[in-house]
Amino acid sequence: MSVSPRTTSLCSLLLLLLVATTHSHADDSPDASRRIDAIIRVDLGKHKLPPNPPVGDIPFVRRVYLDVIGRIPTDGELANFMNDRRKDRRARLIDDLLKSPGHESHMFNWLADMLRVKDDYYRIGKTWTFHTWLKSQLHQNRPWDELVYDLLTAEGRLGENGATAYLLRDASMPLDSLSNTLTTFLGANVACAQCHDHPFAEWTQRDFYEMAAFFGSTAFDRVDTRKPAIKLRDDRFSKANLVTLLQPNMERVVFQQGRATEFPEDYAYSDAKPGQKVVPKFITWEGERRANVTTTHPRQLRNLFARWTTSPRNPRFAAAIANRMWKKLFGVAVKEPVTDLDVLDDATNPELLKFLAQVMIEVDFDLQEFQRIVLNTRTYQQQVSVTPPEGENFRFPGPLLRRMTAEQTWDSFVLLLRGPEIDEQKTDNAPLMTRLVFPFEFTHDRQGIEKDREKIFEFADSLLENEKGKKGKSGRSLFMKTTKRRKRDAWLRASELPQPTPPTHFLRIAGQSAREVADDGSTEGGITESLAMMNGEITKSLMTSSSLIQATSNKNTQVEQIALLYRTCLSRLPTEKETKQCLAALEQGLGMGDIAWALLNSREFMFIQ
Amino acid sequence: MKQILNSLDAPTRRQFVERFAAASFGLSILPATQLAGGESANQKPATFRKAKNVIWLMLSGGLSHIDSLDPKKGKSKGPAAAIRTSADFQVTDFFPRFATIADRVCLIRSMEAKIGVHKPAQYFMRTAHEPRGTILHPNLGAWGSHYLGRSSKTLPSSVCINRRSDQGNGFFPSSYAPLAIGNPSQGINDVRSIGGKSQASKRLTLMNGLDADFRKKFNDKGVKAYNGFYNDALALMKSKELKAFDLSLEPEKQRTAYGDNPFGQGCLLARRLVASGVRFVEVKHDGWDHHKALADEMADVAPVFDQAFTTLITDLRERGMLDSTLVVVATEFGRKPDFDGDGRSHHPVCFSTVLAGGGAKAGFVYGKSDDRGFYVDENPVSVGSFHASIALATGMEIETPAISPSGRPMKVGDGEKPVQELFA
Repeated sequence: MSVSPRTTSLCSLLLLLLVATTHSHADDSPDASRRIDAIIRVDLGKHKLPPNPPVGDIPFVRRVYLDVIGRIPTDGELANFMNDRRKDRRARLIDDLLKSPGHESHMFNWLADMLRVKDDYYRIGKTWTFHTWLKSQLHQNRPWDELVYDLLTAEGRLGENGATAYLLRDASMPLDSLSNTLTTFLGANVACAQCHDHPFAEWTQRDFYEMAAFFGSTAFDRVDTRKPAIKLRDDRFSKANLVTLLQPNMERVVFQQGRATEFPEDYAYSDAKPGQKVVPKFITWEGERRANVTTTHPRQLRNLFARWTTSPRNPRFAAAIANRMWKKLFGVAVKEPVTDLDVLDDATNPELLKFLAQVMIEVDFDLQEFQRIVLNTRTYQQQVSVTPPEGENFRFPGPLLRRMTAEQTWDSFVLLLRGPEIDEQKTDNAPLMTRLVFPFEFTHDRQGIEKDREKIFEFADSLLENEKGKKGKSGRSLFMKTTKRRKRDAWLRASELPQPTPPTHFLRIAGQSAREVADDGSTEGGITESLAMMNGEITKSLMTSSSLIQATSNKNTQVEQIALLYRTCLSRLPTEKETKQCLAALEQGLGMGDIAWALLNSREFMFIQ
Repeated sequence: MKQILNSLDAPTRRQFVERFAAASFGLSILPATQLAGGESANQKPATFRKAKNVIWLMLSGGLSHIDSLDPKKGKSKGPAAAIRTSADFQVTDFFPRFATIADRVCLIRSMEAKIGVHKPAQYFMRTAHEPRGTILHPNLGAWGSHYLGRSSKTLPSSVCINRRSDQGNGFFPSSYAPLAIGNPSQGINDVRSIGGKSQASKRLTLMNGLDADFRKKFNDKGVKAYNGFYNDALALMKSKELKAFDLSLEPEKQRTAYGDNPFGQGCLLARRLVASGVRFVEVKHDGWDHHKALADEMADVAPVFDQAFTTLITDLRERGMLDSTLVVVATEFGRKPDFDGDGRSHHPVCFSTVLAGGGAKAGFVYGKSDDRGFYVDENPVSVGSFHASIALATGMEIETPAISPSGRPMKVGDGEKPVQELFA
């Protein structure tokens, strides 16, 4: 691990950590991992609870593949691990997986749920530049504080700067946008304060508006591109053609002099009047000092807000992401819900939460490094517990038994269909948008745009010049043609498919978020999902034409074939009893596809041990 | 736990234990009324249990009451004009067909809620409880399964169309969760097993055999829920009633009458499903969040609702089903009287909903908003009361609490009182 120049406030603990990370393996894993274990042991001891026994290698491999690269391991990957005789093979596997392309894909799904990533924003159009931007951040393992800073301060056209999509997502509702920003990144439970003082927490409506004022001079109002499109349209270019062409150019986030936030007309408290200009002020939490607003220049307010939000000194920024990452790996957060960190002492183990936040700061918000520390804890490498009864706190004797997410299920199925090359297959639609960006300045308002008609049409013609002979394109697809999807494109990893997939797609049935609200993915299951698992198209393909079934046919004996199915689907060998049961089933006329069906529909497949 | 059990009266305790056992072992659920033994002393209105079924139309995004069901004059007035209806009240001209059947509906113009953020507000409208980090609350479909038992042997008792099955069973067993239909025109997918019948059944036996050890080892809520989903899915696959999900069996004219869009087809599917024994069907309709260009956007979305709703009411009446089917129009909040640019923002403190059929008064307005449409002026109806009213109409013993798994007594509509005046 290299020390980035940002690392200016090294404390002694960080130095220790750096020393440890350079040769951090199983028996001498990072000090931070040991410290996490110690904090949990003390808490378990206080409640007279034993930790779970260590998890065996085989369930560990399956678990860590699913948690880090979002799919089950292949037979070959499993064998590679078992043949590795080095003492630190678990730590080495963790390192390798965190650096692999599968990890980017898995993290994209996780962030896409948190940030409500969609291919289309309502009347703003395509947002593929955002997907590509986000994926490139993950590819570089961009630190979380920098990534969020970029989202909050992004400026320019959607077609050029994908990061603008974060604010444009809620273009017509800046207050909702702020509410999402504060709850997602800081766990500040402010949603209620948007309309009135929070009934239970400390937040007031005034607090909320004072925070909104940081965005007062930022214009990310939706420009309704339909109106200029109507002005411009002629015989060659229809309204729909032009809407598509204008969106990547006109949807943008810009500074606007003279704009400011005002108290709402129904403001009901006596400390301000409706319509009065709001002076920006940072919120703070109990026991914390309130940060000063160090600028009065409207131009700099949004950047100041982003700096305050993402600072290691912000009392909640590190805790919020650490708590979310912990939930990702253990099935439940230290403080639930992750959107409410108002009172850190309400966490099931406040000391653990505070320490995780400290670790996050000490690794400079490097999410891979943070995960590495957590994955190397004994706690993570213990056997799973079942969900405790409602109302009972989970104290982390190990991770929870969890159902795979929709994306993990799908990606594992696609792996079984096509093999591990799926990790490398990426889709990038952003160029379809960036090619539409005008290489000239133009008038943005509806009235003025007519003056630029010539320039715009000339550019439009040049775009179409190279595509002569392609007849039959109309409407939106004239400028935003999507390459025709081939059949095999259907079997790509979830991160490379439409965001989100349509409501009837397996992913959605299995709980993929509709991306309308944050953190909306579900692992609850239901009848429709069971039907899709038993009878759906992907199951049918798995039983017949998959790489799984192909590989089995290369084995000579039925016993070997059964063993391979077990290794590939459940990442383990069958017991003698299970082999007998399978042999008996074959006797009765069932085939290898049926055995695969039985394994894939088992609870053992769906739940991560 | 024992203490809580002992503090309950005898039938409730037995009911809880049996219910718990049933939920744990996947046994069929007996209706609460059979278990309750003694009669409740509460007075039941004449319409009690009149509504056998509920069709809940959820206008997602926040229907602007002022631009739809509660037209205002002066500064609050939107782009639409108020028009006369077949009843003694006006609606806006975004709803011209609704106006022709206004004499069949009961309009509530005094709904009050408190949350102005979509997701929690939708949760609140569906469950009458604010979302909490510690417990999930059931929707009315799940309450129905609790109080009244399964409504059909093979079909689910609760279905939701155009949305996922969350915000459903709450703390009740997952078998009370609605079945989700993503696209009503496709109906229910994947109901035919792969390969022949005998192959499928052998395969299933093999799966249950191979998986037995795992299920025994992990005595987990989630694992058990999955066992239940598989059982219910298998029952459904065998059901003779499956054709209820198939819209291609409807005459083309009928399908066109409801509107060729997911909401219209969803309403038609809802009618087919309640006719086949599904008690509670939600149809979700997106696109009501009109922060900008409200006039244009209402012009896009209102006709879709107007056509489907009107056709649904007419269709139910012609089939003689309107008396036994309560149609509900709900939304998570209203929209502000003052414009923000050319749209309106969220406004939970005053909005409108509709009841029709199922014993609800016809051509009736309940409650009143102030001149601007900002606050409720008369007869406020909380979301809890709204739920309790619907629950009572369907015959739920709303005074008897259900016990959550953590031992908390919970009531439908959060224990708020039903509004008797809504029903004839």
